[in-house]
Amino acid sequence: MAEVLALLPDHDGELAGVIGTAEVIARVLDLEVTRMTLTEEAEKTMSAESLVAAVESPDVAVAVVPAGSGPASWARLIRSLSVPVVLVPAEASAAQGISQALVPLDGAPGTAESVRPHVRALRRSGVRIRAVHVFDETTVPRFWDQAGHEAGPWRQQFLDDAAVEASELELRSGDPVAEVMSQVGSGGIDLVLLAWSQSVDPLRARLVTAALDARRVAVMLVPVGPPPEPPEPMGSPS
Amino acid sequence: MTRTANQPAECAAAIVVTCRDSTGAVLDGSDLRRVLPQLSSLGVHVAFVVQAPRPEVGPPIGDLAPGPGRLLLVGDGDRAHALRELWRSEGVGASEVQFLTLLGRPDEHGSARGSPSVLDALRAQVARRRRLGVPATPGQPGWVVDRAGNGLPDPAGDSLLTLGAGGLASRGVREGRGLRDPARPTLLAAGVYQGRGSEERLLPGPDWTDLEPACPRLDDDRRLDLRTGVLTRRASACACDYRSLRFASIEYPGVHAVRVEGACGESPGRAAPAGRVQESGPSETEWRSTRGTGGVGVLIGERRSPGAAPRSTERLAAVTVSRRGDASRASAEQLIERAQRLGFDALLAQERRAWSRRWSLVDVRLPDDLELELGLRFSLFQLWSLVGGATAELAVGARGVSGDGYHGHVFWDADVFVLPALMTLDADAARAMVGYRVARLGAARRRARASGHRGARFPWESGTTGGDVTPLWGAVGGRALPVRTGAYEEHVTADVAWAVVEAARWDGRDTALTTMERRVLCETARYWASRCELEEGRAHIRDVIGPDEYHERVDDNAYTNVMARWNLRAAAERGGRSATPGERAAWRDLSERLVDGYDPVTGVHEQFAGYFRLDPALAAQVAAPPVAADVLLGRARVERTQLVKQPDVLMLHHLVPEELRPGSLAADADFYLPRTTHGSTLSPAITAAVLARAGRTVEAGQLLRLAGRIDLDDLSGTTAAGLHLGACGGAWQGFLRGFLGVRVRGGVLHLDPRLDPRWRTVEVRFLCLGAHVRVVVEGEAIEVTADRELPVRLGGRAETLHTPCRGGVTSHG
Repeated sequence: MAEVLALLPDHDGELAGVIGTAEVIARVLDLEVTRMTLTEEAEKTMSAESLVAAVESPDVAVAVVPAGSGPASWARLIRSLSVPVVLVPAEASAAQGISQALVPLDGAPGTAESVRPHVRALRRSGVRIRAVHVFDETTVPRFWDQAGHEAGPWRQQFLDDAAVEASELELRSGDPVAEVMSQVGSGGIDLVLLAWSQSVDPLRARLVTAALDARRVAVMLVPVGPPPEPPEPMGSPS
Repeated sequence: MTRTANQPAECAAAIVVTCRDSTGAVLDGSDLRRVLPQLSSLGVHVAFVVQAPRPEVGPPIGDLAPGPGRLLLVGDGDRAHALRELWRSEGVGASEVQFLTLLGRPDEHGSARGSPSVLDALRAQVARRRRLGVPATPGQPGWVVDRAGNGLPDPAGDSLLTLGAGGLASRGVREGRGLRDPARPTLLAAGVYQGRGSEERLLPGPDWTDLEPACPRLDDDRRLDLRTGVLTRRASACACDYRSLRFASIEYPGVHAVRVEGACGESPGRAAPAGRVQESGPSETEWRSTRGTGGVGVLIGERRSPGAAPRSTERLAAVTVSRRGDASRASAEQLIERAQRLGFDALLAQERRAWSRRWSLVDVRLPDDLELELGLRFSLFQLWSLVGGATAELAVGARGVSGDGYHGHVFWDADVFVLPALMTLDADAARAMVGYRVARLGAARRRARASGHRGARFPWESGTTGGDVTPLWGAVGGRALPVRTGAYEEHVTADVAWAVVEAARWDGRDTALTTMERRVLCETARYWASRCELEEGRAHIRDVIGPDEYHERVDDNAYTNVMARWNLRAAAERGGRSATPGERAAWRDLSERLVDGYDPVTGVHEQFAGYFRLDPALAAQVAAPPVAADVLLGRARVERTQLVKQPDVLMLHHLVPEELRPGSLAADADFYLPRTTHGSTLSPAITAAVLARAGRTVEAGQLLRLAGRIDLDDLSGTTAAGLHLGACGGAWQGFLRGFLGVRVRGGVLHLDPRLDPRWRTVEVRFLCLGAHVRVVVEGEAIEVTADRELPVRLGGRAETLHTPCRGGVTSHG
């Protein structure tokens, strides 16, 4: 049975947010919560590979971990997991419920593919999905014909191509981190869904850091790769 | 692919029966005489090739062919030529021909050694057609646009695969609801709108393609065959073996047809509303309509194949429109009755023949540049969707009738990008485009009066009434901003006048404009005369936006001023009784006073007053063009630089080169090209044309190839909202004017090729001065032929030749 795994280091003082967020995500995705507590000793002695092996199981659909800094093996664990990881800051609003999620889309097919099933699952649970695309040096369009007409068709086709079921797409121009954070700061966002390649990606690292610095918003890091199967809701016909 | 009697074809378009050992009396067989008329009426061509040395001629073969399929009896000696001619003229590809062999002389029933299988094969073809089988249309390289499915909606593909005629088009949406975006229209008609003001937009017509496949989300491959005008769809991965074929009749504009075939479920064509479907037999019809300011109506006739799987469904749809009020059901009934009388197969055969004729008159062959060849043919194909309507006016929106982007509003794209291309395809359609502007002269007069000016000012964006429908707000990338083009982009008024004169020139009416055309010319000149401000003896036009929309509200924009100057001079010269002698003299005087930004020191035209003092940024410093620099940098920052969105000064070298200082082309090209970002889809084609004239033919070829791929590769990310018809028109006219040097002046066709060096041979056909012209350039040799004698000047020489003629030119820049 698919589950949300709450990963709880026994020395971290912010566990309530992790547990609460895991429970909310489990409720939204119609999954069960399991907990795994890692002792400080285990963290020090276990390799990242051992940690990954300990965490990953076919049943784990999403891992929820505290956003605080941890040992090097902890960061490597997050980079190695093949399932989405939700990083939960101390005052995460997601622990009380998720009403709005923000999905930054860069236009790359892999980004859209990786977040698509999670967006669909969240949307079906009533979560309002707000997508944002930021034009910068890497994503600037070749053509922009008439200011009075271009944005509508561009926005509509961008969402069609991404096939991400967002309620709205906000277009921004400028620094992606600043613009996404501006959206986060506009209020109401409980969760940011971020596709990431699990490599050291300065842009996403900045974005994750900035989001977590806001201390209210949980960040779901979704590995970019073959599109994962959406979590199977409990009780659905086999 | 060669087929034999033992290898049954699908629905073949033509059949070749080779008669060995016979004496030519192959048609004596009564069974053959029964099946041949059936094939002919179903649109299948049959050719009998008699291999005997002295063939006996059988009974008159033409009597057996009620049409549209043709019957041919050819001797072995002239077989190849006769058949090649037949296939070409009927639009039949070699792979759509079934080959059969008749062994021995047939008896009166058509029997001979081998002949029963021939008869069986012919009867099988009749049966396939009557079972509403979907004909195979494999397509030829250089003529097809393919779209591979991935199980998701593909609205950009739907735009690309648009089929239209007479200004009515059906987007290439898949049948059924599973793989389409319900928010996008299926059927659109030029000039039929809903809403008012800036919210006026094209009225979506009723969907007539809502056949519901048994597999709701068929993953499929779609192919548009430009050669025959047919769109096919195949989902071979599905157990259905679902296939469909669709076309928009160019013989009967408004008639659209689809046939679907598949084995999955009870029927691939299970129609959503029950009750009108009949098993074969006569069709019932269903009327659907939509209504805005105008109306679009569709009368749908549907029939299904009898018997067991594979089941097929066929729909014929008759579309009628009205620009004001409801569409006429009575007209649709007449249209569908005619279509049903002919039937799907006969209409299809006509369609192939009609497209074959089109391509025999207008086409391009670039054997050394197949990418560009396809891009240009695709542009022509979509421009042709506007051709054929028996209408006095044709409103060509920015996306034509392939999508509802830009609300279907008519911009300057129509006048200076589409019209010059369309007039090389069809003179009536070009006249109808002029007719659209002429019919809105009253609105243009009111607009001028409202701003305290005389004459007529045409709107930046136009719809039903001719009033300005430009939105007041918009966005560049992620930044919202006020839209000022409606208030300040005034050059469209001169562009309309230029289009009126250019279309007349192309018609051979250089100085013989119609009364209404003269009025447009003079009223626009009056506008400019009242718009100019005199200061120290010089005339200025202040506070405008030029084609380079990165710089708003500038003074003395070179493009606006020079086009206004051309407008004044043209009206003085051609205005006739629409202007007084005093007015004409004043216009000539004013035209001499209008500043044009030419800097004698540098030899460069300054784009507007103060432009040279801006930050001399280059496009490459921003990103590799094409790039929407305003999206990246923001409008305010771009405005402080010399970056240019699209040809502004260079556009003048394309439209009115005789208005500019001799020798200024090279200097202007050298200066402005590095500053041009090509952030508009209109930019690459015209820049290519100008560079070709400047002799920079390699760069020109690269830009023209880019222009040809804008929609095919969806380079704008907005093709789903419709094709960029201005880019299509720009590519074709850019090729003709820029690379072939085609112009018409004083009733004479001028040709002065400047070819991309990779093109060793170019063959192009187009309509000009009422003649169908064929130009072949090979190396330095040029050959011009036409279907009537035509005066021609080659390579800028003064000597006038007459077609057919040959000459030597410097074809490579």
